[in-house]
Amino acid sequence: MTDTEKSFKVVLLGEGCVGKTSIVFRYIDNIFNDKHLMTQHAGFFQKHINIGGKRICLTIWDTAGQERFHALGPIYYRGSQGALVVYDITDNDSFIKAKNWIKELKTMLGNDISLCIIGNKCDLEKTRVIPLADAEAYAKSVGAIHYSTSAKLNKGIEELFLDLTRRMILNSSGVVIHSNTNTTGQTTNRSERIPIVPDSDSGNKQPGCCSN
Amino acid sequence: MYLYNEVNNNNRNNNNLNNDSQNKNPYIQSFIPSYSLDTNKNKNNNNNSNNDNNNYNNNNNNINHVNYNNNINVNNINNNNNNNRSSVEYKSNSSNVNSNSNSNSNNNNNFNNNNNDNIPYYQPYHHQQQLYDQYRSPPPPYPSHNLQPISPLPPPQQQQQPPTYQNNYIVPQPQPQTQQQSYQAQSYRQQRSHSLPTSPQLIVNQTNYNYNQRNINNTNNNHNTNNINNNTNNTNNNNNNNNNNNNNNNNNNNSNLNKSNSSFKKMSEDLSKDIGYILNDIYKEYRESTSLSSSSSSNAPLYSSSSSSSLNSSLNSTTINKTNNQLNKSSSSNNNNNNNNLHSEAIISEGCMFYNVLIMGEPKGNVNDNRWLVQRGQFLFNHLAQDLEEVDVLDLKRLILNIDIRLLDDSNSLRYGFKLRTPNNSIAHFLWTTDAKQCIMWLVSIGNYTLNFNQEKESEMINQILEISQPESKPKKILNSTSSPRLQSLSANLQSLSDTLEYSIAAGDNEIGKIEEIDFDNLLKKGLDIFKSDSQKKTLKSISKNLDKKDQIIDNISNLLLNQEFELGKSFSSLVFAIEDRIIANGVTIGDDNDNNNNNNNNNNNNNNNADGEQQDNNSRITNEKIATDINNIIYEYTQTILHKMPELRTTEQRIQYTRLAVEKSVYSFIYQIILSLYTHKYSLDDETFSSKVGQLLTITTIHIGIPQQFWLLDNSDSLSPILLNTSKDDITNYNNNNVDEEINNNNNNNNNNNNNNNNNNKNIDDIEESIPPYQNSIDILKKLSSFTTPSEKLECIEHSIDAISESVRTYWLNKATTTSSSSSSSQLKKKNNKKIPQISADELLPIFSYVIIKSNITNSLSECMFIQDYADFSQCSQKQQYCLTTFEAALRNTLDWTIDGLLEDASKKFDEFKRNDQIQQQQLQQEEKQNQQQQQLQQQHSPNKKRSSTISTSTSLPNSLATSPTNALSPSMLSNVGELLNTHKENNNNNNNNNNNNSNGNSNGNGNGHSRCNSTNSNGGGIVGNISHSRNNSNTSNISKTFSSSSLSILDIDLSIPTTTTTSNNSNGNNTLPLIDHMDLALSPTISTSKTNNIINIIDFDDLNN
Repeated sequence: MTDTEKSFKVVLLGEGCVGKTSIVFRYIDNIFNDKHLMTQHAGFFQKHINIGGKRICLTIWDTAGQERFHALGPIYYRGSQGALVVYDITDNDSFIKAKNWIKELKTMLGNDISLCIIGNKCDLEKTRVIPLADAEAYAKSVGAIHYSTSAKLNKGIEELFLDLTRRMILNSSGVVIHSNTNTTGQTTNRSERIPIVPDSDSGNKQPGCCSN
Repeated sequence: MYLYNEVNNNNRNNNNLNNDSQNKNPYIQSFIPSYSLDTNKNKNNNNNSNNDNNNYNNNNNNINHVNYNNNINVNNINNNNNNNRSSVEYKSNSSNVNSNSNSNSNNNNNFNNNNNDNIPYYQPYHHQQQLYDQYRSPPPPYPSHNLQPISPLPPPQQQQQPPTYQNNYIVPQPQPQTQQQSYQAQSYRQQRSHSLPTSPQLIVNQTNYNYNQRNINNTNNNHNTNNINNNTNNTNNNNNNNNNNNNNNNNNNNSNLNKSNSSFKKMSEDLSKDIGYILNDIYKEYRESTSLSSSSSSNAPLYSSSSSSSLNSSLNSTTINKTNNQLNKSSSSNNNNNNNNLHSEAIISEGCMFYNVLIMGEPKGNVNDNRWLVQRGQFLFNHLAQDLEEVDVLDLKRLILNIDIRLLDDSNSLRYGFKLRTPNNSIAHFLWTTDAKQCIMWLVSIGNYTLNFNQEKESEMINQILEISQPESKPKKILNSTSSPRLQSLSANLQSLSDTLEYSIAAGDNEIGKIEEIDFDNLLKKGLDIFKSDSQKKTLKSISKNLDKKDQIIDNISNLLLNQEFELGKSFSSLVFAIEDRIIANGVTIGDDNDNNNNNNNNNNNNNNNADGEQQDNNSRITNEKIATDINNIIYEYTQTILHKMPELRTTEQRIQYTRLAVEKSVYSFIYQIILSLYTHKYSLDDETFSSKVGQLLTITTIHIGIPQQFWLLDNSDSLSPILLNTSKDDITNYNNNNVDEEINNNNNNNNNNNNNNNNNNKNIDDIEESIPPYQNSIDILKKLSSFTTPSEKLECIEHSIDAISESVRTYWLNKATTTSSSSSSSQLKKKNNKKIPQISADELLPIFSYVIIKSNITNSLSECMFIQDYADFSQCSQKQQYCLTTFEAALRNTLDWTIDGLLEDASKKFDEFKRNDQIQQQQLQQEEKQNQQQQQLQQQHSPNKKRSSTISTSTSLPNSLATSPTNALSPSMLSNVGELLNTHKENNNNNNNNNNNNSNGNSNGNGNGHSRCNSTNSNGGGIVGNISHSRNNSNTSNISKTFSSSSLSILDIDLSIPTTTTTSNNSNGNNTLPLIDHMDLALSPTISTSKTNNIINIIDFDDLNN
């Protein structure tokens, strides 16, 4: 890495089968030419982009969304600058789960993290069970931005990541000036040992389902 | 003349006395002047005489007290006697002195004596004559006379004494005469007292008369009292008689008194003129007689017979004689009483001691005379021997006692003694002994009676004797005297020793320093040159030659750092040892924290730590972070140093990484074991828990971990093993090409894929029955985690293991795809194959990696994880490695949460989902059937050309249905479809064989029409139509029966509900209809609904053909 390049850690959170991985695959895969085969590393995605003349290295950490893996979330989101919380517009339980993740992130990481709430599968608008107005209102109340996307139709994904990156740049410029963010992030990653606390709201376990 | 002078002198003295008596009371004056005169005379004489007189005066006083109560006359006589005694001794002493000094002085002394005292003058005259006679005579009498008071041999003195006394005895008259003379004197005394006139002479006579009157009165009284006294005296006489019978001395005294009376008679005859003078003479004579008797007491054995005769004569005398006898007896009794009084006192102490005496500084007798001493009260009696009588008597009250301790002349021993001296030191008696205790005993007994003696002096004297006599005191003194030079010598020795020690230490230091300096200089000069020229330069050269070889670079750089003979190695080792010490110190605190944590965990079920525990945890973490930072700093610094010395290593990023890895290995070669032991100790409980959990879960498979079926990788495929071998190569290439651009990666991946395809094609034939467990490559990589010693190597291992999981899935599905594809050259098929490969997300990665960890059975898994987290330098690690580490940690915790029951429950839920998906697929198939029916209707309207289009459309619809439903591809049902496809492929091969047989049969039969029809249908349509025509033309029953049996078996295998339909069709159409139905079912679709649809289509076609 060069000294001018900044690296941001973004973590994907949400219930299983809501399309977390599909969104990232769509975002990463769309850049590649059809002639080239995609190199995949399980659960880890890295992309270099240029925004405003700045070279940004965006690393996306996928997390396991099953209920039984909820306690392992802090291991993944510690030291993150951005978070993507995904829910399915056709599943009310997934939205409740997304709210729990937002609450936990605000508690553990404070206001320094850039939050995005994503309502996936907007191509199934007919079967929507969560009104868009309610979702946007909730996002506004917690200081996040709501996005409606469709990994299948490749809708709203590019805008999502660009907007998130800009917000992270603004946050990092406000905190640290003329310094390598990578080092700062890693220092935070090392020094902060977030204790793993069992979720008190995990009484109702969701049944397992297929992958994204 | 001589006698006249004596008388005149006496007269003068008497006149003086008379004058004094005239002025004062006669009785008192008559008594006191005699005493005062005595004192005056004594004063005029020498001190010795004074002392002696003093002693005797004391005696007189005692005697006076006794006699005063009895009779005045007797008192006077006693006084006189005492004075005479003292004068005798004085004479003897003076004569001794005179003999030694000038004769003139002797004469002067004699003259003075004559002038001062008549009576002593008279007696010294006689004594001097005797001495003169003896002096004229041969010398022996004089020494014998001198030795009389001191001589130790009394018998020779006794033999010599008789001549002297014989002379005296010859000179006086016989005893009876003396008695008569005394009687006459007394009678004369009485007559004159009655016949005296009243003239001036009468005045004197009056005085005498008064005195006499008193005497008369006394006489009268005396007569009365004499009578009484006589009575008492008679009792005394009895006592005297008794005494006379027992003691000869008393008899001698009595006889001596008689002798003095005789002399008194002679003088009385001469002195008849003056009564006063006569009286004085009488008193003086009495004194002289008493002195003579006392002097003769020592000669008792010689005169015993004479004394007895005198006693007998006295007994026969008249009354006057009786009176005289009474007087004599009284005097003798007094003397006896005195003697008895001296001897009657009890003996306080007695013993044998050495005696010496100094008179006027001159010794007398032998110095070392051994004497027997007896103390009776204040008197110390000096005996020549124990059995002999005393030679001398010492009055202790007149003497001063002093200690006298000195060395004996001939030996080194001490004599312990004391000195009894007169106050003026004229006479000194020395008593001494060699026994200190005896000396102390005499000191205690004698000291209290001596002059100026106190208890303090006594204690001082005793202490002196004890100090000198005690043997303990002597060695102390000797030690004191000798210890000082010894101490000085010892101190000198100590100083010398200390000096030598200092010198030796200094010398040693100097020598050691010199040696070190010399060796160091030699090492600096010689050794470093050698090292530079040989080993160090060789290592540097070897590094420069092998810049791209990872192992050699790492080994050589480690050699530079670990060899302390090199400059780098020396400084490197010192720093590393310092860190090692810090780690060990921190390890103690970590151990304490661990104990505290355990206690806290035991106390609190909710896993809430106390404040103290938290602080300690924080402190230990902070310390660990500091240590980790220091370690990373050392690695960075030494990496930069090596890169600075060897610029060749800075050319590529890969070489820099190799250098850094080498330095890291060198550092952790010292400290890894220590740190790991600390972490295993700290997390021992967690590791035990994890290992027990792993033991329980070893039997699980990929089916149980809750992942989709497409990731189970459980099918027995012959081509998996070469693919897995290829994956190891891919890992290596991926690691080597981490820093390459994306395009290069894509090209390499293409090449790898081509290689994989080629390998698959080549090895499908060779490896047929091999089967490998799922994700085995990943398991094998992760097993090596414990063998690495550096955090970066461990991270790399975890990363490779996770990558191997992805590669395992990819290779599995590529292998599946290649078997179905007819040709690998088609790019479209490649794309399709790529799209069909499932992509692993975190939902699948986490359980799969947990499975890999369980199967790898790593020891101390949690300790390894914590070590990597604490000591990895994340600034040098990639983000991917960090993600892999996080996944590793999450997988470990996930494994701890797994239970067998939970996994089985999840598996059952998964099976239920499987069923649900099947139902959904059935619905989808029904929809597809509807679409197919519509297409068939369209085909019926067209001509044979339409038939061709219908056949083509039916053939193309199958892949479209598969492509349009990606969920079907991911569902488990897809796997079953794939299996069915494989079976159909085999049967197609069998059918081809049958076709060949049919062709041969047709040709042999010679049916031209049938053959032409079959050929036309084959050329126009698919193989299906051809098969049908062949079956119609065959007339052989054997062929028909074979085909029927095979078709029936296939029907039974697929589904039992179908046979009714097939049998009805066979019955209606005959044998020809069965093969058609079987082929259609197998080729088109395995499901029942699809088979029914196909059967209908086939029937219609046949009818059309027949028509």
